[in-house]
Amino acid sequence: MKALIRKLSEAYGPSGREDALRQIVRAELRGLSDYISEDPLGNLHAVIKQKARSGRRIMLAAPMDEVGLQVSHVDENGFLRFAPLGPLEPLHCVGARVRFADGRVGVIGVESRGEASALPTVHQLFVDVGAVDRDSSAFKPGEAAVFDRALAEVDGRLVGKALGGRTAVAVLLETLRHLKRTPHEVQFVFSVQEHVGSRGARTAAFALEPEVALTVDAAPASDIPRGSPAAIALGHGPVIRAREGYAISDPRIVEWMATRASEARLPHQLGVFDTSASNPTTVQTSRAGVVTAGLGLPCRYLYTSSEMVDLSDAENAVKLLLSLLASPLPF
Amino acid sequence: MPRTSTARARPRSAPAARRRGIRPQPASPAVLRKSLERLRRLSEASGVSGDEGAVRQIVLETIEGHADEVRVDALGNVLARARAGSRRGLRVMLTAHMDEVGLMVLGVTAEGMLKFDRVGGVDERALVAKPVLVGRARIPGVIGGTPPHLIDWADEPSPYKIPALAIDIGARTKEEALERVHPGDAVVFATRFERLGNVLRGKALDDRVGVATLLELVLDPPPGIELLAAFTTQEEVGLRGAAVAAHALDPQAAIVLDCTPANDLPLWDGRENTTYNTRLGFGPAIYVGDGGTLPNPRLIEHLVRTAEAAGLPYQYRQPGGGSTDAAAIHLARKGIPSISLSVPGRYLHTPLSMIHFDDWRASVSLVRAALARLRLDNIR
Repeated sequence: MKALIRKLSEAYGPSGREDALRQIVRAELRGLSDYISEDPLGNLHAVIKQKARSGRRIMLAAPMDEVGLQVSHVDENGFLRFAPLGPLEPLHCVGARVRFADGRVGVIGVESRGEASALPTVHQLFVDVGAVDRDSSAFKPGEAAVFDRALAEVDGRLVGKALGGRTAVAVLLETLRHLKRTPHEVQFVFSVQEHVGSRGARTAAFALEPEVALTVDAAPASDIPRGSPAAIALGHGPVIRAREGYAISDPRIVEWMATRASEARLPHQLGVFDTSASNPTTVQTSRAGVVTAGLGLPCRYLYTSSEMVDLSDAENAVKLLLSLLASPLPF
Repeated sequence: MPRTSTARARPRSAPAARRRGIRPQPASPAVLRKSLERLRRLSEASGVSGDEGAVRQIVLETIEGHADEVRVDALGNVLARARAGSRRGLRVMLTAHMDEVGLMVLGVTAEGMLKFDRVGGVDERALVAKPVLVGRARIPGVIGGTPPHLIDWADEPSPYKIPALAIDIGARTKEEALERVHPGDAVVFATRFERLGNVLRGKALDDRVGVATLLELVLDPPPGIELLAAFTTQEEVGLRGAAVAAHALDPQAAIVLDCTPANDLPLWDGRENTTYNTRLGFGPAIYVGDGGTLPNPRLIEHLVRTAEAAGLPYQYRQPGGGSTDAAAIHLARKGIPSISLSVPGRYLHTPLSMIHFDDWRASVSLVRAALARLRLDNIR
């Protein structure tokens, strides 16, 4: 699983430009599902058809895209001004290396400021791609870049860019790979444009008409110095999300997940988040409504160039999903 | 325009494109005169979000007898299937929003003054002392406020903001005012449309210029595609018309024709302006990403290639916030590959917006050429 996560984490895939991810996921999916399709926004659906009358239509969704930036202007000295693509924080930008679709690399700099201790605004930032003036620059507005970081291992934990979301993708792929028996139609959705408002999941839910949906994504871990007292901790198991911003998980699924995790002796944590990273609301309110909840992978330093996850959480998430899918729903 | 070959329509190079007739023919002087006159009428018509009837009337009159199917849906959108379009071609939805930002009468004071609020994002800084027209009867009025001589800034910190303002229609009492206007009446700025050389100015060019463009396309549809035109309502208050129009039309691709701010004035301290959004005179603005939509990358490429092959000017609308009807359309149903193309306009959402005639005409040519060579390959 580590090799797969590395490949996914290091791939280029800002929101709206998920082609490279789609290619990797498609290759991994070969032979694993009854059918694969790609919808007009670029989501990949891999579907296991329903095998028993007791089964339901269950959608599992994980985001392929990552936070990035988009060139908005090439200035007279060849510096690239940019707009965030997704939740990119200026705090996390200065000094970071970024990579464009074709592999070109740049470094994010900040204008000289009177008040050097104040946080920069995005308008004070720029990407330095080594250019000397506008005319010789080959960059155009709209080109997108992501953090440029290789995956690293620190004391058994993984560190890398886009790691939370891509680990969720790996969790779905591993679940599909090991899914031997299920009464359900299981719809694995690898979604696009999650970081700009969960847009891909919305259209995928319309297309697949699930009855039940589980969105699998990174959950912000707060087990850091002066972190939240109700800490979500790395290595303590996947997070069953009771609430995520405005999205209230259906209590039936929350209970189902918690009970099954306890029965299977799998570590797990219950999480309540006031802000939403992935927004299951777009799935929940699709068509006539979908019974929806979120499963999270604890992740520190979300949306920075170095997100940190614990592999055991991902492995336990796979085990939990397999256990959930093995039998008919209790509701 | 000559039909492109049925095989791969994408040209390898600009000269090849020209040989195949990609270079668009500019509209004839007669068509241009009519279209300009139509833009004048559209700009001067009242069409605040939710009350687009007068604009809808112009749209319906114009396309009558020129479209295969015309209907007005529950939200007031005009949905039209253009005539002579190919039934086997790609089903492409084109939209322009009929509504404009404006004001609404909330009530009348004992002195006969009209209290009001905004509908959509009217520029609050630009309200005081502007002539307006109230309601469908277009009762003239002026937005009244404290004269500059008498402003006590300490006492009244926001003398130009809505709570300090009222519309004066010359009534002396509440009863007198209520004979002519009613709470709920929509209010528009009383701005006459003018052409000054290459400059067109008037109110509500956002998005009457898009409506004018879309009308031209319905009157003379490009070959090879099935053109589904949606003249939408309530864009300025949340893209509401477009959302239901897209659900109803269920197109394979969508192009939104809008008008986007040009913030291209020099900066006061002489620094380079790097956040202009768009610039007047640089051609139609192709979207690469805004607050509501990441356009389909292949549609971006298609518009850029078409502009280059046809020798038309274009610019990129800077990525960032804001949104167009595309935000609602691309998320409809199973997802619809979408893009926006805007005419840049200065001073939008104020009583007087300004566009360049050349930018508008280039946008008409660009969308026409892009549609004529749009195939399934361009969105997959």
